[in-house]
Amino acid sequence: MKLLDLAKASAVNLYAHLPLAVRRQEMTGYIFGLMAGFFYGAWNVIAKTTINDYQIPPILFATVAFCFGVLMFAPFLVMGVPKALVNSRFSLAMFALSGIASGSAIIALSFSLEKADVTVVAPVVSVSPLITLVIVRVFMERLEKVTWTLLMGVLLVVGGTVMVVVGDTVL
Amino acid sequence: MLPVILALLAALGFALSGVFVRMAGPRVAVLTGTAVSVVASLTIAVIPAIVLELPALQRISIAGFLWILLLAFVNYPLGRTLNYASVRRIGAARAAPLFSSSPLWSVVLAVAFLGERPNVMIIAGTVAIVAGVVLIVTERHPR
Repeated sequence: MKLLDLAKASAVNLYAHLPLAVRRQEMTGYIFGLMAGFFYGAWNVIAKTTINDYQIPPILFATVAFCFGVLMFAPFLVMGVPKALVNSRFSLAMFALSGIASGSAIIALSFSLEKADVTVVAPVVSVSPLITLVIVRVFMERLEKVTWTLLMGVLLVVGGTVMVVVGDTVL
Repeated sequence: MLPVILALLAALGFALSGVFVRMAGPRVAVLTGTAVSVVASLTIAVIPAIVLELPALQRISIAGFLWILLLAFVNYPLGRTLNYASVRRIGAARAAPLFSSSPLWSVVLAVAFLGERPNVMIIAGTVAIVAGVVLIVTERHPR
């Protein structure tokens, strides 16, 4: 119980210097990021089982999933896109480019996994946060600050991810 | 060599995805932006899928389609929306390692529900990921 109180007090102190709205925004951002990681992790487990059990080619699997995704988002497409086209075409184009980038990544990953073992492919793909860091440092320095602590954190996550993937598939 | 190049391209694609969302700014709602991105992903994936794997579509059973439906729900309205909401709040550089921790969650789920036993390598990797996330989350003056 004392440990829990200490942890709570430390968390409060760490964010005490920031305005309440910023603190809330940051904390929800971190929580959303971790939740996204959880859902992607769940996806990995179920997708692996489904692809193997039903013998579905990965690219076809991804495409059918995208089709279902589009159907699920249909109300937001119908209601949100006309308004967004008036408000900011640039933002909409950026979201489209994001979808093209992740769609291309999924295709490249599928082809890569067809030609090589997951122990080769997964560690290479897991360097993605480091690439993000480099892009942000070079092209978006005014928007985001890359610190040594962040670099250390990213290196630990990437290294840990490689260890988990290799440990899960080789050992 | 080709698989490694393809894997690097995949890593670049995932990285650029977050960067573009960051560049989009706050003027479009996250759900609308996610919807547009899923449509864009579909347009990219549909051509190679039709050219290479169309006959396999007929072999997918109803149960297979239902599993894909569930996975689509987990990945797009949940995973991708939260991913984009996170990038908008804390930036691409800080959000990327958080959702890159997904292999850790895969292992946690496999241990919890499939009864798998983690080995030393997985435990060490888990400690490293948790330490990295703690470093990023608790950093002072991150902006």
